[in-house]
Amino acid sequence: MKRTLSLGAMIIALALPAGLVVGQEKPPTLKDVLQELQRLRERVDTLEKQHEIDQDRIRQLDQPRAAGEPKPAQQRQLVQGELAQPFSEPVGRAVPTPSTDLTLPIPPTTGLGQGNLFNPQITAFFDMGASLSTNGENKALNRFNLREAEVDFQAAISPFADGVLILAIGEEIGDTADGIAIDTVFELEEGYINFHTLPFDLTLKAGKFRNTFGRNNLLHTHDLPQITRPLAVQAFFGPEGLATVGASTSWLVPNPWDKYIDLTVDVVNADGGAESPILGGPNADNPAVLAHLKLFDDIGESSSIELGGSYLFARTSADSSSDASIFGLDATYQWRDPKTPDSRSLLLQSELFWAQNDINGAFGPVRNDSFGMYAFGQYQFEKNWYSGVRIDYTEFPNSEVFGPGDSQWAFSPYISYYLTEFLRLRFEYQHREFEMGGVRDSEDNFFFGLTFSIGSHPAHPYWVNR
Amino acid sequence: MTKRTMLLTLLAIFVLPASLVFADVRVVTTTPTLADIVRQVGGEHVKVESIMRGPENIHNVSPTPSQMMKLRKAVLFIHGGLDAEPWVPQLIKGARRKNLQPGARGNVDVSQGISLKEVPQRGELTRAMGDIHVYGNTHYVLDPLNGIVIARTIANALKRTDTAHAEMFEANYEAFTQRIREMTDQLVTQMEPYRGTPVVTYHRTWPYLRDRFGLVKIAEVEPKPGISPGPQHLSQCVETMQVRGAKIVIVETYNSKKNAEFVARLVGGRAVVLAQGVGAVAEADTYERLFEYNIQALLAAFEELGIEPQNPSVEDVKNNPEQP
Repeated sequence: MKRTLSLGAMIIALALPAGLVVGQEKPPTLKDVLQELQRLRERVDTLEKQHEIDQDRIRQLDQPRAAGEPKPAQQRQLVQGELAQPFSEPVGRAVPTPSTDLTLPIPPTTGLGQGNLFNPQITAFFDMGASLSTNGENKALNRFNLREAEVDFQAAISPFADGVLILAIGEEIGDTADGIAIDTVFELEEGYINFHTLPFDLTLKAGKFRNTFGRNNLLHTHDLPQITRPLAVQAFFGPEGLATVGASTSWLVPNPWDKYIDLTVDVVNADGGAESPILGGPNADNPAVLAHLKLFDDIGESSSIELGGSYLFARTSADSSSDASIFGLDATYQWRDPKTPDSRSLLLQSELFWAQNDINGAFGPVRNDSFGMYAFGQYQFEKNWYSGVRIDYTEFPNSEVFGPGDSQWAFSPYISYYLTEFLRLRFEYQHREFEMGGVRDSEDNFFFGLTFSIGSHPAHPYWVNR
Repeated sequence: MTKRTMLLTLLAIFVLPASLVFADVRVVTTTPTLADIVRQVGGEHVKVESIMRGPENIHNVSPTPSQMMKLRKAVLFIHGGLDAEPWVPQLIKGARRKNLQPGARGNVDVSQGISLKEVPQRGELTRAMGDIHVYGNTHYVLDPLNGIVIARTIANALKRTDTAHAEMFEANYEAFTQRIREMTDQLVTQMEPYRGTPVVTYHRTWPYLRDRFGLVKIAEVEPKPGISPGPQHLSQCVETMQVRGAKIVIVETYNSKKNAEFVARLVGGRAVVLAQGVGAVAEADTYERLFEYNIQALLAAFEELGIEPQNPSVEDVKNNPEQP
């Protein structure tokens, strides 16, 4: 009954104005009227069909409410008048289904937990390489390398803390009397808890982590912009860089310009690990202290600059008779083409290192100064292609192995190609000249690297430059 | 210190910041698209900034410290949710604000209530399929009617945050809805003669736009989402286009127009760069103009290439009584 009525009303509403319009021009003939009627009949038919479709849709929308939703008493209070809005229909052909849940926040769907539910976000990285050298005697430079296989676990521990575990299996190449020896090393690269929202804009990390000295030391092997780690970083902190056990706190320094100024202080064990050239072993007097100050700012819309200064102090013996200070400066400039930010970019980065440490002399500890630096420029000329050149120079703070005055420099052009975001090929040529124990020599090395990642989509921090 | 000065100090400490909050709701969004909807719904009482500028690929952003500083000032952080913006967790953590963390009140995910397309079936998720999204296609802002759903979520968030202007937000939402509906109707009508026109798309960005405006995708330039095409795949694309009589290759602003153009030229067609969001091209500076720009670009290409309007099928006439 109701439907007939509303249809009738529709016909009147539609027909009347039409009649008026027709009437204004000239008297309608019977044919006109019949035609008009026919048109109206068709229109009513289509409207009726549309109405049926709409009714079906409303029934569908109502169904889940009847079947599974909580009873009205259990529902949380909705603000007056809100419900009327979401169900009003748009004029287009499909009906969007806006949420009627006004009791935000809803569970987050971004990032963590893609399909893993409460499992941690897991990403595995695989990094292998091969090298060929004019120095044929050095077998380490003339072989395939399984550089590293790494598994990252990351998850929130609570609303205010995240957990990170990074396990790595890699080959370690050592020298023996008979040549080289390969050890397969399984180690915890990083494992820490990070309280990311403490009062006063502080964060606190505790566990084992890569120490905040400059820029390159933060990077895992698979994240390096070149195949090899800068020679200075290797000479000052060891082949893998410095990662120690302890605690680290970071503070966003309030400033009137509202710029990003971060002060990080690490208090860690003075044990630099077996391969550390400067720091002591497990018997060194704890702790070592590290401070890093970082400034970041945008230059215009498409560039940014970061400046940093680092300082590390550690005692290197059990009786505190010897110690080491390392100073560092870093600068990074990045540009992205504003028109095609994904396929054209430029990166310039440099770090300087200066160490003052005690080494064993004939009559007790002797103060030793050493300097190291690297600088590279990298240009992205296609979406998946990056090319660059790195220049290295370093002296050796660990002068018990290398004589004072030993040094090396290198020049390394390289090119990276990303087949996909998860698979990268890289070639690097390195010309290296060195002076060790008064002997001058040089070598040319060719490196090839293949890196892939599987598992959860790894998010790149801004300081990981592809 | 007298009691009075203490009271005044307390007042200054607690009341002043509160009144400042009411004066201006500071909102940061991930994309300029969401920022524009916030601007339209929030009106003069909302100050909104976007992390992305527009032309970049939403999947590949690396949030910088200055963007984290920007986010720190926000009361509301509005993002697209799902797994389209894998950089968002880092951005939020870098901002060190409790009220913006996942699950907190200031963290607003506008994907709620959206019917997603191309949702993968269980057991189907591997990177052998390319860089696919686990929840479904995340480019849902490209259906203007989804903009209404997004605006609803945004209006709710603003009303919760600034109760004093709740009515105004509601009225703005109403007006926005009205504008979008009218615009959609108008653009759908303009595209109606071309309903069913076959096109090739570069990335899997366009299902929402395509379905709304009646285009049919017959191939993709990328062999799999996020994978760059090789010569073999490109020649397959060309073959498919020849067979189906397609002449248009739709490409995002951040993907290789060269590849798209190459394929299109071989069949006497051309590449059409469409805006994947607000700000992707200068002309698409609001949510409405995003669609107006895209539809005009398509219509211009149809005309230029002499693509005949498809004959409306019986089904179309039934669904569209307004059409003759």
